[in-house]
Amino acid sequence: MRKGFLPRLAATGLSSNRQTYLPYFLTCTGTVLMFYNMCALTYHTSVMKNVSISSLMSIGMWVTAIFAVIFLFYTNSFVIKRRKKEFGIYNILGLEKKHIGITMLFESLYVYLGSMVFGIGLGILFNKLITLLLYRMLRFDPNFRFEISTRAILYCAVLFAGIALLNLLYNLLQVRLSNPIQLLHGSSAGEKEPKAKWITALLGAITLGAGYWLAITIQDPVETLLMFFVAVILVIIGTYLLFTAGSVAILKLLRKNKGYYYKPAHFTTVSGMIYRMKQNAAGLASICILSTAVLVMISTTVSLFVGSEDLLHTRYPEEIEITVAYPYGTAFDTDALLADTKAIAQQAGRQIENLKAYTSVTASTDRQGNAFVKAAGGSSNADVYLLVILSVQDYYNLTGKQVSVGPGEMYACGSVFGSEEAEAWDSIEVLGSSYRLAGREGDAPEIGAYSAWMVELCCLVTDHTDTVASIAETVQATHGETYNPYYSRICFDIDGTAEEKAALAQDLREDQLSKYSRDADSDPLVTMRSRETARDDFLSLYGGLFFLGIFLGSLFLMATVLIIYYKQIVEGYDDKDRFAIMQKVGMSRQEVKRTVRTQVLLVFFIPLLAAAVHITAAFPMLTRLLKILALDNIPLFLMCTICTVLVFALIYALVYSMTAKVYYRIVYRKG
Amino acid sequence: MPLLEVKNLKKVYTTRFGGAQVQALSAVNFSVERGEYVAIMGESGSGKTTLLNIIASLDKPTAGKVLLAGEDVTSIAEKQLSVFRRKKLGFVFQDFNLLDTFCIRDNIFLPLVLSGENHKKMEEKLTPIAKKLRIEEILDKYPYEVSGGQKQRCAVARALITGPELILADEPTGALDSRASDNLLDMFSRINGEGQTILMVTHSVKAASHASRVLFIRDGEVYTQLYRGERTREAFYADIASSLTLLSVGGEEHA
Repeated sequence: MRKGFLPRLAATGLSSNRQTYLPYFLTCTGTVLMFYNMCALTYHTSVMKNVSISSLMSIGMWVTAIFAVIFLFYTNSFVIKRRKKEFGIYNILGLEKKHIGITMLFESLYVYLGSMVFGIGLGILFNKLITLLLYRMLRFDPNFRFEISTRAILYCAVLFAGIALLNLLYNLLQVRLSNPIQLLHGSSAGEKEPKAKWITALLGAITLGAGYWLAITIQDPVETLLMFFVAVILVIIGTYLLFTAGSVAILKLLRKNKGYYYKPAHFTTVSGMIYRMKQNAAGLASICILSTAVLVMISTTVSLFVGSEDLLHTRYPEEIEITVAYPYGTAFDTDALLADTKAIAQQAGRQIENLKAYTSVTASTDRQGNAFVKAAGGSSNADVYLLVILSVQDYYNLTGKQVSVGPGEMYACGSVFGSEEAEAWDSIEVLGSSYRLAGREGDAPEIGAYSAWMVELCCLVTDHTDTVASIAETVQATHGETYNPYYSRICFDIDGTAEEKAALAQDLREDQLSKYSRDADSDPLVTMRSRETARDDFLSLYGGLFFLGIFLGSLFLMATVLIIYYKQIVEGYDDKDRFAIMQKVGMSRQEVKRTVRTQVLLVFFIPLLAAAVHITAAFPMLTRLLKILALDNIPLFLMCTICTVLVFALIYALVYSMTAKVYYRIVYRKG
Repeated sequence: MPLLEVKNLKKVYTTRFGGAQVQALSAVNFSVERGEYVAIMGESGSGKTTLLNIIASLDKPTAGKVLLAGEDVTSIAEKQLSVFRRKKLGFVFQDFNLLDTFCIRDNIFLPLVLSGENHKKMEEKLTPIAKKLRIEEILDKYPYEVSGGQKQRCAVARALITGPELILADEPTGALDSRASDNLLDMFSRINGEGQTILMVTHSVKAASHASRVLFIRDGEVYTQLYRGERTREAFYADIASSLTLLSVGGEEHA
């Protein structure tokens, strides 16, 4: 064989199969581009300094890598199926399988090199854009600048070489396993009509139902976190089972309904769908799951990002919160601290607003009926009741609410006191002492320092600071010497710009650190939380999540679109002969068009519909997950979800009309 | 009035980028009476299939007319074409053209479904045809589960079920073994005996010998024709064979 013949044959093979290879090449290029960017961000010098962002990005990188392997393998199998006939002809014309293998090797090499050059080239350009975007969005430090990552290029080269090799091996296996006659008829092998599998369909319905049930019924936040993945896996399994078995079952039911079946619009569609449902179903289920993933990812991350200011306010109800913790038996001069703080603020020219200053005793307890006892070690946060015990005066300072509490009485606030169980209580027991309930409320007041803890907050108001002191003594005795039962807090807002606020926070921190040493056990422990200082961390975390959501969302969207496109093209070629026959028998151009439209419409919108149902079922669970992340704004989340679904549906409809056109062009015979 | 009249039919193919012209049909004239069974013979490339495609309204002629029951097939609007094809014509193809996605019954129903016919009526129409063609047993099977002969009988059933004016058959025995061929040709003769007009394009002398008349086409025109008359099929077979020999050896007999 003449030298250079096979490489040229490979090049001809690629260019004469443009219709299938161009989308494949673009897919490879797109995936390289995405992976390069994810990699480049993960190993960006500025990103690596920020632990939370860099770990987020590396998760994104791995997801993209796994995705790339599965996705490119999937698309390759479509491409090779279409080319079997060509290889069969080569084989018959005297090209040995070895030579076909070499030709394939060259083809893979061309596609690999081409997609690497274009993918990384475009990736670098795209990376510049992303760098700008991230810089704006996450308010990264000004040193965050564009860089070309050699490490990312290396990783790309290795990953995609691996994928190309995997695909090549698969293709070689395909050629090796078949004889020329089989190769010639590779894509038109007659397939038996699949049997309706009722048991599998039932199993699918049960699995899916279980997943939905988990998503809707679980209330406990910690359990939600644990069961979320269980629910996701159940729904994925259920979707696959239902799509594979259920679809055939439903189609067969449709066919049994003769009045429906023997209509021009349904006749060819229903029978055609039954015929190829087995491979169709897996594809449709994948599309459905990918769509759901895109919707969940984008809607949650967008809500978090849009709601991050909200979140910040939940976590930091006040601009500045200074907490002093100290043991029973020592006194802390809160007034002096307050005076100091005011002086420093004045010096900086800032005005203090909405000041709240109060002292409380805090203890974490377990609840047994109406008795709150010392928390046993090892109980999870969700079972812990955090008691905040205050005097009437301090409660007034905290909430601005006046309540009257007599000796031996308590006024109780917290969600447990709004529950049905608590309706029967006329007294409660706190660490061994019993108190009559003077009144109750179903909501505990907002305390910033505890907003991130997943505990039940209970606010108990007593008649006098002496009662609080006696409880403090008990707490000190039960919780050990190192525990600080007393917490004094000063919370307030300040005026001024963000920079001025941050500067004041800095001043206050330095002053407190110098005055209230933290060394000795008995010394008071001062902590300060500032909203302005936290804002950057917040934005970089939620901005990072947002970015990742959009990035992976668009990646999955690209995959969804391409899977649909490929599926329809392959089906179009398969259907070509069928439509030719039907036209000979007397199917008009309009009828062909209508049939194509119903068929493509079904293929497109069944998964989208299923994805919308999934999202609806997942909504309660997602709301609770977001609540753990402190986003408790259901209308906002609902809005974001609806918008995401609408935008997605729009893109989807666009792809639909494009695909329907291509399909029609393949199928319709002129003349 | 004859059922089918073909007048001065001419078809010239032009290659895609202008250039060379190929004349497939130069001037074809013939007519078919109601109830006739006509075979068209000729060598590969003589224009048989082009002729059949034009009669079937699958292709447009360059010049000339095709009248089916007085209606000009070539001037029917694109929109009405498929309805026309469905109602007036029945097709039987060499490679059966059955759809693997349908069971035999649904394959036969296809033209009726496209016409929007009621399901009960379809069943009523199918019963006598299925009995006549001896395919009652296999109606619920799929094309890939039955033999070639059975497939072709199903294709015939599909052609008959609309009650067409004319059956167009393109090499119907081309993909069948000799027993299945005989079987099918007997079936055609019987259907013709019941008054169905058939126009068949074929290579096979045996198939043609079943017809009541054979047209020979050469170089795009009707070269000669033979009537069977009162002859036995064997005698007709011999005549067709000798005409074919003449046709391929030389053109002296051209009148």
